Amino acid sequence: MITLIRNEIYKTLLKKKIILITILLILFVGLFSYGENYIYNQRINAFLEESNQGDYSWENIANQRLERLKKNLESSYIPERGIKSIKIQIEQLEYFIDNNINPVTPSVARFNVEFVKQSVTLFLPLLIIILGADLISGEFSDKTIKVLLTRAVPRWKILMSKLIALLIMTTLIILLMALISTTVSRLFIDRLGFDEPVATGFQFVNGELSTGSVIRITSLKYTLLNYSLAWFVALVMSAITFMISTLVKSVGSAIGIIMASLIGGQFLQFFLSDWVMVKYFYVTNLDLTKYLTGSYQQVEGMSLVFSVLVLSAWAIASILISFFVFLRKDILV
Amino acid sequence: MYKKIVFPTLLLISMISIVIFVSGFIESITITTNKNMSEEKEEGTMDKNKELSFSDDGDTMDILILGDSIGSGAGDEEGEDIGRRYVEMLDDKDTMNTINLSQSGSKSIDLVDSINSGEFDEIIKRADLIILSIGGNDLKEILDSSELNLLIDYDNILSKYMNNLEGIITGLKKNNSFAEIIHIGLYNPYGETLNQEKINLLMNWNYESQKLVESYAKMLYIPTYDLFKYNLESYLSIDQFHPSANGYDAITKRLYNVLNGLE
Repeated sequence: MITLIRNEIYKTLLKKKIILITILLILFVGLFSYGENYIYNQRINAFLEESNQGDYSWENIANQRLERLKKNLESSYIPERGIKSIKIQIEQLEYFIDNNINPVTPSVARFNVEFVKQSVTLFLPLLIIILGADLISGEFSDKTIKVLLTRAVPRWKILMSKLIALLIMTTLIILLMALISTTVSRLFIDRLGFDEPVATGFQFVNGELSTGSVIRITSLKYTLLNYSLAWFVALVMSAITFMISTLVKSVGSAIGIIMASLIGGQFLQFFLSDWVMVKYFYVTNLDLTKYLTGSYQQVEGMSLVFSVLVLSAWAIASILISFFVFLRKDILV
Repeated sequence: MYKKIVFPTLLLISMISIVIFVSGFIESITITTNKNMSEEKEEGTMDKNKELSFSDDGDTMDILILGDSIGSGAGDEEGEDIGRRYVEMLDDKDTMNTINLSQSGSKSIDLVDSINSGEFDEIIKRADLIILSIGGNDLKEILDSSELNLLIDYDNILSKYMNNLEGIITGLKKNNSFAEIIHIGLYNPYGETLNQEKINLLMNWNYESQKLVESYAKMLYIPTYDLFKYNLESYLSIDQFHPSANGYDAITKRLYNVLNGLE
C-alpha cells in the first residue's frame, strides 16, 4: 500500500504540475503583495495631501475609512444586502479603533490572511483541480489504466492509494502556499506583524454583529487558523475532484465539469440567495474563513459548523461514489 | 538515494502539517461557536428598567432623567446623577423620587426609538420634572472626525439630530403635558485643543437646540458651555470627557437656581 502511495506521489511530482502550481502561486502572491503595498502608499499620500498634516497615523486613516463607509450608508442607491455588509464593516472598524488594533498598515501576516481569504473560493480550488483532475481520468486518456489494473492488486487498493496520495499532496500544496505567500510578500511588505493582536470571534445575533464573544489572538495564530480552514476546503475540493476524475474519461472534461460547478455555484449564490437549497451546495460553503472575520453572509442561517458539516457530507459522498463507481465499472480500453 | 529520501520527508512534512491544520481547524470551530453571553446580559437590564416606576402616591415630586452618559452620571466620583443632586439641594427631600433611564452612549435616534417604543410611557406620564441630556454623542462623532468634509457631515448630522430632538419632545409632550422639561446644553470637554471651526460648530449646535427647545411651552434650555469654559480642570472627570462630581454639582446648581430663584 505504502509503495502504491509512493508511486502515485512520484507520478504527480514527475508531471511538473507542482512546478506549474508554484509558478502560479509566486505570480499571484507577487502581484497581490506589490499591489497592496502600492495602494497603501497611494492612500498615505492622498491622506497627507488632503489633511495637510505632517504625519499620519493608522487611526486617522481608519477614521477616514469609517467616515467614507458611513457616507456610503446614507446613499439611497445601495441595496438592503449592501447596507448590512457596510454596517458590519463599520462596527468592526469601530471595534478596532476602540481597542487599538491596527487594521490598516499592511503586514506579511495580514497579507497571508487576506490571500487565503481571497483565494479560498476560486484560486485554491483551481490549484486542487490542477493537482487532481487527471488522477484517474488521466489514466484513461493515456491508456495506462490497462497496465494499472492488470497488476495483482485489488482495485480498491489502487483507488485508495490514489486518494491518500492526493490528500498528502493537497496538504503539501497548502504548506507551499503558506511558504510562498510569506516569503514572496516579504519582498514588498516591510512589516512582518506576526505578533500583533487580531480580533476574531465576531458573531451574528439576529442579523446584528455581536462583539460579546470576540477574543484577541496573535496574528500568527490567526494566520494559522485561516490556513487550517483553507486546508479543510482543499481536502473537500480534492474529494470532489477525485469523484469527477473517476466518473469521466478525459482530463479536459474533468476540469471543465469542476470549473463549471465552481463558477456556476458562485452565480447561484449571488442570484438565488433567497432560495433555501443554495446553502446546501458545496460552493456556497467554501468560504470558511469569513466566519473567522465575521463578514456578512449572503444566505441566512449559515455558521462554520453548518458549512463544515455540508462540506464533509459532500466530501464523504464524493469518495463513496467514486469507490462505488470505480469498483463496479467495466473498464474497456 | 535521492528518491529514497524524498518520499519519507514529504510524508513526514505532510503528517506534521496535518496535525497542525487539524488542531487549527478545531480551534477555529471552538472560537466561532463560543456561546454568546452578551445577549442574556442585555435582557437582564431590560427587565430592570421595566420594574422601575414612580410610586402611586400623588403627593411626591417625580424627577425623570433621560438621555446619554451625562444623564446617567458617568464620571461622577460620588456615583450620583443630576436628579439626585437636585433633590439633595431641596428642603423637602422626602417627597422626591428620581428615576434615571439614561443609557451611556445613546444618540438622539436611540432615545427617539425608546420613547416611540412606548416602554417608558408609564414613567413619563407620572413625571413632574424631566431632565434631558442628549446630542453629545451625535456631535462627538463630528468633533472626533478628521477635517475632511466636516461641514457636510455636520449639516447632515445636525439636521438629523434636530428631527430626533423634535421627535423626543413631541413624544414626551404627548404623554405628559404638565411636566417641566429641562434640556441640558453641551459643553466643550476638549478645551483649547478644539479648533475654532469646531467650537463654532458646537456653539451653533447649542444655539439650534436652544431655539427648538424654547419654542415649546414648559421647556427650558440650560447652557453648560460657559460653566465649563474656565473650569475644565476641576469640572472634568478622570476620563477628560464626562463631568466630575464638581461639574455635575455646577450644572445642578444652575438648574436649582433657574427653577427655584436665587437665594
